[in-house]
Amino acid sequence: MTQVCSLLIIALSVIYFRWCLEMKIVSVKEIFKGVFVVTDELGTERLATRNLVAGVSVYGERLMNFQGVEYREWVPYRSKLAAAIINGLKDIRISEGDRILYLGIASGTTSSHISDIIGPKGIIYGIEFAPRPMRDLVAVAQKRKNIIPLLKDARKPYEYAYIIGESVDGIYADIAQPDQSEIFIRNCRMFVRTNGYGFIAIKARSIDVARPPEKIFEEQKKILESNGFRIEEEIRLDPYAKDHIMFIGRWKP
Amino acid sequence: MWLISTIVGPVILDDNGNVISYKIYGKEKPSLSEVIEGIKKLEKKECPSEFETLIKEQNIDRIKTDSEIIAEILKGTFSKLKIEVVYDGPELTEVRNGVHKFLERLFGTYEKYVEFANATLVEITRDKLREVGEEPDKMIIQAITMIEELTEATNALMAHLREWFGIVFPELGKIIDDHRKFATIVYEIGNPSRLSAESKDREEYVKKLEQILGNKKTVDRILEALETSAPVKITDKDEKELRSVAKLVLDMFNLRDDLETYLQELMEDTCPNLTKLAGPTIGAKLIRKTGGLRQLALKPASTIQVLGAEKALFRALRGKGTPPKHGILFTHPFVFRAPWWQRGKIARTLASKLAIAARVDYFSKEYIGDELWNELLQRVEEIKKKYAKPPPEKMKRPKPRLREKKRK
Ligand SMILES: C[S@@+](CC[C@H](N)C(=O)[O-])C[C@H]1O[C@@H](n2cnc3c(N)ncnc32)[C@H](O)[C@@H]1O
Repeated sequence: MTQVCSLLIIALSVIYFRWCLEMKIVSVKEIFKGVFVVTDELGTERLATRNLVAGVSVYGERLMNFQGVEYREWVPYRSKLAAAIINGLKDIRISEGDRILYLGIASGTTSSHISDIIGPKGIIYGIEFAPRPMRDLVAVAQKRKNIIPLLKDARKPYEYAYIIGESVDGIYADIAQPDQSEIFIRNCRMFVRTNGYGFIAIKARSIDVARPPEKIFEEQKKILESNGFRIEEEIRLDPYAKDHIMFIGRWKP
Repeated sequence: MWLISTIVGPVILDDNGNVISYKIYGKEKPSLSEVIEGIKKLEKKECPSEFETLIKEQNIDRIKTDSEIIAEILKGTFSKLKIEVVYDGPELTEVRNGVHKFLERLFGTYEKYVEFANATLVEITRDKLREVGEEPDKMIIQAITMIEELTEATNALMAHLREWFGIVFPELGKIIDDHRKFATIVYEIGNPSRLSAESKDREEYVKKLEQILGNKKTVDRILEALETSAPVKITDKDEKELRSVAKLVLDMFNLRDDLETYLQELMEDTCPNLTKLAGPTIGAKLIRKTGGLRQLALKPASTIQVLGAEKALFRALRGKGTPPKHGILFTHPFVFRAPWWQRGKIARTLASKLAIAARVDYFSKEYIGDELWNELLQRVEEIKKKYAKPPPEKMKRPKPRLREKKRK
């Protein structure tokens, strides 16, 4: 009994101690509009966005307060967009009030941060065809009004074209399918306004397990560019996501 | 002119994206319940009345739209309307930009539209997810067990039916291997004398037989057999009972088909990755063996590899015999189609991929099935190449132990 008690006390004090340590934020720097680097007392820097839904953590990420504003840590190991930012993305492109089509939104890890950036005047149409992550996403969307859950197959844009209706400013694709680039283009054609931006995360192994990633990335790049997607930045996501690349560019058909 | 369907209803725009007319689900303002009803109709490929009124009002005879679904629905309702499906191009972009401005105007601010869209789709999606059910593991376990029981029972009944009908017309059993076709013939034709030259409805029954078999050759063989070996005469009572047994077996076959479809859907919803690699049956058996997807996800690959071969495993642990190389996984085509010396290695690779699949299904819930499948294919190819030849004599397959239960 005493053992259990003392263990509990130790555990609690460790948690409290860490909480005290980590929650002391000394500075916040805005690196892109809506994207911040938060520095704590120990000098640890963390990527973060301003929390649209105060007090709620989406995937277990830290919440941090500084001068009355709550920030949510944006974990690069969990979100490829965070990994791209840390690995040197030059321009985030996404801004307040934007309309975005998200292919493979899963349970909403990355999109929750995009939701922070675009704010209540923006919209994310989130396509996901697997029911289980969708269940988690719906819970997120109930709090984040700018996320629109659509249980649909990204391969068949005509099955949600009749719901979305409008055009979008940007598209984000992370569906880890062998024909992802074709799917991406198909969706660009239907929904993305001319000059709209696009992000596509490509995992070499989901396209071909045998060939070297560099070859695969070159090929995918060709498919994208020859179809009207002008690539402006390409960023490897290692070490956060192994053998992944993100292409960022504009839709100029 | 373009017809674009939006969350709030159909909108007609000109080629520059100017709104010509629209109809919303609801009276003046979009109403949540009516919008949900409208979208559900579209998802069922039915035409909401708002589409009909809009097109009739505008007196349109040709229209462009960007969704095959909408085109299909309209074609069903307006047979004369010329519909062109265009899913790219600058005009479509302009039109969709026009729809954006329309939505903003309709709601006063775009933010209000966003909130409305969220409320609508959260509701619709929750509804769809509800169809997925709360305790899929338990349903999976019951379904696979029922399928197995049904298979066994139908096989036993079929054996008896064949024996029974064999008294009447033994050749039929030899010609028709397929259980279902056999039972259908017994049920639809019954007394084989209906097919004989003396029968007055001969033609009708021969036609029936052709329909069942879809193959003239087999029909001819049956008719030939009938001529050479005059079947035993049976009474109407005999025929009636034979036919009702055949009917029962056929119903059981159909029930099993339904259950299989049900299991497949359940498995694809609950654990799409596992299902992609293992197929619904083996996947379900693995879940049953461990008691649930969670338990399966927590098992190491080495355990998954021999699930279902516990007897052999314990025997090996007691120092008798070699450890098993596969249990349930033996029934996977990759394993049983391979030559015996490759089976253990393939089963190990398969098990390691299944372990990943089950974990992803349980924990992160993403779909990476196609990728895992490709990896698996590649590994299997490697094994086939590397171990193309059987191993040398001394390592030859151990003789099966006498007491080992024969596999079905
Ligand atoms: C790598 S995860 C996405 C993670 C997410 N982007 C994030 O960072 O939070 C890929 C997702 O795409 C989904 N997916 C794969 N193919 C799809 C398709 N054809 N249509 C819709 N979703 C798909 C999978 O179910 C999975 O949830």
